[in-house]
Amino acid sequence: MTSPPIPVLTDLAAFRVAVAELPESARLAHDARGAVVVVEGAGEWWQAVRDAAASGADAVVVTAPGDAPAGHAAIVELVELSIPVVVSRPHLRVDVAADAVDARGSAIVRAVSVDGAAATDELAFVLRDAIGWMRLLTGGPLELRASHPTKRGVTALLEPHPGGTLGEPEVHSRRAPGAFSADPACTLGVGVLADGVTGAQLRIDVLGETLTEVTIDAVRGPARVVTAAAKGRLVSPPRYETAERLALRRAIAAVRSGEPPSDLNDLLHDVTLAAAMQEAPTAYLRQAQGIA
Amino acid sequence: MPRGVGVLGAGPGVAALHLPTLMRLPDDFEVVHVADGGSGRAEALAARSQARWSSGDEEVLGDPRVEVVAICSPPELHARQVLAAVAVGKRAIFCEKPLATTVADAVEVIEACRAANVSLLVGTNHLFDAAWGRAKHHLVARGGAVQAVSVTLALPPNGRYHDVVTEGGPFTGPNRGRPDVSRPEVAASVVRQLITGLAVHDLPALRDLAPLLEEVVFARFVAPVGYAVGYIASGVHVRLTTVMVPDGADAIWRMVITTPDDRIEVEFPPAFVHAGSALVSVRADDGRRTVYRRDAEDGYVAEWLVLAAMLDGGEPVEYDELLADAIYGIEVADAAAAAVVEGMSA
Repeated sequence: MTSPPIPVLTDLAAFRVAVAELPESARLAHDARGAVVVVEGAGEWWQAVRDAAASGADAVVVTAPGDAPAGHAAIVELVELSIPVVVSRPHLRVDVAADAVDARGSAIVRAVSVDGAAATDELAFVLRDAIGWMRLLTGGPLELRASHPTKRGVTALLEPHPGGTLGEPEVHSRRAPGAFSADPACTLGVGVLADGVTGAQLRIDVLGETLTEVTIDAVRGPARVVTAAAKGRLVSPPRYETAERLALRRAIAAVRSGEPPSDLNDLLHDVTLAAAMQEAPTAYLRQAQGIA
Repeated sequence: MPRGVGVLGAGPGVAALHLPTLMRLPDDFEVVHVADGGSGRAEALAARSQARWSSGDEEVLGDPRVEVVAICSPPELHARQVLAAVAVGKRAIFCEKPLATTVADAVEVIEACRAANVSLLVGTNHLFDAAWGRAKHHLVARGGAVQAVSVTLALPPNGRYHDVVTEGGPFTGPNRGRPDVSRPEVAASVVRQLITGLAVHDLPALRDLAPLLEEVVFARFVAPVGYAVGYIASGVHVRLTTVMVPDGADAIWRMVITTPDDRIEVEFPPAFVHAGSALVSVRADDGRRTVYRRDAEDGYVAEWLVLAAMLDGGEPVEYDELLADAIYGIEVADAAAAAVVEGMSA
């Protein structure tokens, strides 16, 4: 017996179209009770998420969440909610990331290199999504080892954090003195676009015996995933589904299965490291002064 | 009348790179003498051109048929061999990169060549690639400041590329065993060697874009063999990421230059092959992507032709630029090595 359509509460045109594109899974709702509530990620979006939960929503979709208050305590509180929260991020689609990871199979990640460009007001979002890509491609939480922000952009080194958790990322390395890392090096360089130039770009390269190239450039079309090994190159099929429809499907699936996505913990991890990356330059010696 | 070339070195760079390249320029050069360091490998290589062979430097440098000395030996020998060639009166030297491994040696070599009016060329083939010239022209024409540059390399063993340009392999260097890179000073030494051996291909171009080294943000060894280095130079964010793997995908060698308005990608062909110039593409601020045509001539051929032009008097020897390139490479390598030690000791 098929499940009845899940109600979706939204005023956003793109999400209303997405509901129309899910005629058997979703229907438009008039109030939050028992619905998937779509929250636009502007302003105090975290409060809007709490309000939706308090109003009886079964799940929430947050689209392109903006900055959260210092320390990201607001996001931490949302993690404690008992309803699923799906986060739709403009430069990090979970289905595209899954394509990239799946195509690699068990191939070892030797290094990840991210090149990007973003307008000043997009920089924080692009940085967090770049970190998200690194996290997904290396298979776990990261720690920030060094960073250098200037008005021209940001350069940084991150590495997998052994024993770390997504909800509480390590901002500075606590590795023992003299420890050698065989972990992949995750390096990032994002340049700032000129005033008036829009359209953030990300290029993610995974290096090793198997290469992965992910190109994200919305102006030029869907994200592109190419995987190269000894036998040749595989271009993954583009994901033509809209981000809005994908987000709704994920929320509906979470409601039906009872299995919440890790989106908020993922966001907390990425936002925390991105914010740290944009603070004063860090270097090994300065970090060493704070190591216990 | 082709000029006689005497080659010092009999490793993979000679067998699979310079000998095949020189065979493409029969009107300009003829290999007349090949010398190894005692391995005996020079005999088979010299036989390809009916050339003489020997071991050590003396016979090549004393051979009157040798007009151009091609120094293709291990990096630590380059400076000494350039000075020896100048001392015996040779007037043309092709020196594989790096020119020298210390600033003092680089200065001594350049001053000796300048004083003797020697035509000197350092084999940084990417610098001579027509595509690099095209990328530079685009930058100048657009006038935008460079924000960031990245150079990304993923390299499988060279054997697959040797196999398409020569026979008689495998051509491998001496087996030096596996270094203990858990020790900071060893990891730093390996990173330094890799920068002077691999990153050096693009360091002259990087010096064009970001000439004054300010700070190394990070530097570390990357397993199984490689490095990740980030530095700031003239305000430009520079990242170098290299991984050498035992097997797998075809090589990538890519430089990405980010300006406030556009992004320029220079994609070099794998080493050793003759597949034309690099491919330059530009992603403009409105999303347009322009792909420039490749040139049929690759950087390896181009650099030898520049040397021929120097010998004909049509191309000046830019001693100061050669010295500045050498010093930049050594400074980056030394600073990165120091940062590796700092990072592993923190």
